Amino acid sequence: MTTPPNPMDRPRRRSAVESVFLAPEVVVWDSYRQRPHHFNPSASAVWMCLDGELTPEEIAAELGEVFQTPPDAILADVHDAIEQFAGLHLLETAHDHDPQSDLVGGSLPILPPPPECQTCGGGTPTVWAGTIDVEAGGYRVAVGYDSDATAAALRVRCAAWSSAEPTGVEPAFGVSAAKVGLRRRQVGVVHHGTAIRHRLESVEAAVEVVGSFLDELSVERPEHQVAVESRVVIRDGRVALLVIPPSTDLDDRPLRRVGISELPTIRPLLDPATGTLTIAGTDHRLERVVVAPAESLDDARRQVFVRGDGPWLQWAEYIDRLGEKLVWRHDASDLTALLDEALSGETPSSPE
Amino acid sequence: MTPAAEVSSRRHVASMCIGGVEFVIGTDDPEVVEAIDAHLGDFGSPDIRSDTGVAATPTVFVVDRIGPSWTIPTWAVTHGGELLFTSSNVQLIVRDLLSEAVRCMRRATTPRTVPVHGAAAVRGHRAVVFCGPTHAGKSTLVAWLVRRGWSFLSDDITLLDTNDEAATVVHPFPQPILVRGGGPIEVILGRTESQALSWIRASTIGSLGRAAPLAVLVFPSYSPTAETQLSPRSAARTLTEVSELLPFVDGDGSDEFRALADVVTRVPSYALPFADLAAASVLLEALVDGLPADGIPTPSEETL
Repeated sequence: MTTPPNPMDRPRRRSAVESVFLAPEVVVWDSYRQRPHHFNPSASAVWMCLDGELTPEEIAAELGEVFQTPPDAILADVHDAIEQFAGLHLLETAHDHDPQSDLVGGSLPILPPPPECQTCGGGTPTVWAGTIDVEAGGYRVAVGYDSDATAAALRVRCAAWSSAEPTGVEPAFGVSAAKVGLRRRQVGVVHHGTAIRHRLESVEAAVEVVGSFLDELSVERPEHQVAVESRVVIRDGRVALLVIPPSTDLDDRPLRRVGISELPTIRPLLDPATGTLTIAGTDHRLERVVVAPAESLDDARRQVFVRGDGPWLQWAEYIDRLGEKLVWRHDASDLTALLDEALSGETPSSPE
Repeated sequence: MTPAAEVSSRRHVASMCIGGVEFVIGTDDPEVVEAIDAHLGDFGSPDIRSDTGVAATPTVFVVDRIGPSWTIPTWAVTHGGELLFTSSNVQLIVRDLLSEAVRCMRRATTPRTVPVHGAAAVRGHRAVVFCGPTHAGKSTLVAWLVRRGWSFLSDDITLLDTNDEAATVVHPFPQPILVRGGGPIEVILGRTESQALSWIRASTIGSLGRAAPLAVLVFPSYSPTAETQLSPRSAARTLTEVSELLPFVDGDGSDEFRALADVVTRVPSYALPFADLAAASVLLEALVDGLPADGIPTPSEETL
């Protein structure tokens, strides 16, 4: 049996990536993730050579000739640029050539992990035993698992969705089992990209959070609701959206000491007109939006903005009207104290 | 019943023009009429209508009260007898109608008219679009320019029509403007409003403008310590920033990206750090007045 060629030996730009050359730079549009990337002139020169025909060494030789530089002097830069492009999922992978035509969703967009995980690699990537790839809500969604037992639980919960062609990128979600505490109690862990999102009482509970997300993704969202990629905490019925870097591992023990708990959800729905937050079919009144760290009030507003996906007019207006609901801090070192103050019922102070 | 017959049976009929496409809204409910007038009134103004590009048959929406005020939902919006959405909030009904109209307009125009996040104003039939993040000073600058005699095109969402190969056309999108009590726009308008936030109709700032060819893209950034100046920006940077914050994307967004790539290669773009509105407007007026007579500049070397 012959080993299939590794696409990274002769890297090729993904066909779903649109390139525009505006000398001396290139701007690309990643249609999977619906976002642009702007490359500096040297990265742009490498990008234009990635036609799937040339090896990195041949690219270095070609560029060396153009820029009259010894190829050896630029080979490392070529490799760096290719790695960066691969990290942004702009290059074809082995999965792109996988002839699994019986699986659905080959042309569907991949549900991406949180943006921070794609670019700066926030958090530590988990090595998954495998992935379950399903088609839900018009996306291909990969869910990583750590063991056969987790995979079995996931397969049962995900049975309602069609299997999809493997995404070939790091999974948007993952579920694993972990032992915590002196008694080595087993918990279920929900991963969102490279970040740990929730630690719950069992693997089944963690699987349920991912399953609920797929449910929500598959149902057409009411026009007036915004999907918010933020954590949600609650105390005495008071609910706050917590906008923190996705790679932040929110330790729930100190939070529990002050009576705060995190609601297990990945993408709650917010009605910007009424401030009603809907999680797993239950409505909550949103009291605060807490952002940390933020450089300024404007930065805090921007962070809230990028976490929301929904009707533009209402969402933009909601951000403008946040007023006292918005609480932000320069640093996120003491989230417990910050949330304790935010959910105290009194108007919290802000740095500006 | 045909859409035309359906709307003609309603007591109140409002029309609006978005991206050169005509819409008609019919209702019997005075509360809806009031909300439409406050939020969409300027879209029906004859001042924003151009002589060309208007679709012959308007798209018709009907808003009906489906129960007394305590029922949820209270109102329903239909199009050709098909239910589009319902709500118990009349403000939301009106805003959703606007979003729906933008979607219809985009389906009706080929290649699509691209909505971008930005404000726009016209001087001498040359449109200037102000792009950039929230709180960069776009709305304040446009309000100031309109008070100085420019015509208002848009505040938050700007429609770029790339149908004509010779020029990108900027269509009016006169949504109401959100004004902060004591904020710069209130100062410019000479208002003293006690409310923290209030909506004002665009036409209260100054005259509304008709569709005009895009002459320049400007990226303002207000800072009290900035040295007010215009400096060319690269087309690549402009394309990245404009496509980062697309308010409406149909499909995978590549159509919008290609259209914007075409725009940034034809039209120069400038950064405008400013501390002083008067100085900024003098620079902008000199820039626009110095453009070729047809209003379409040749991209300078710096912009390529």
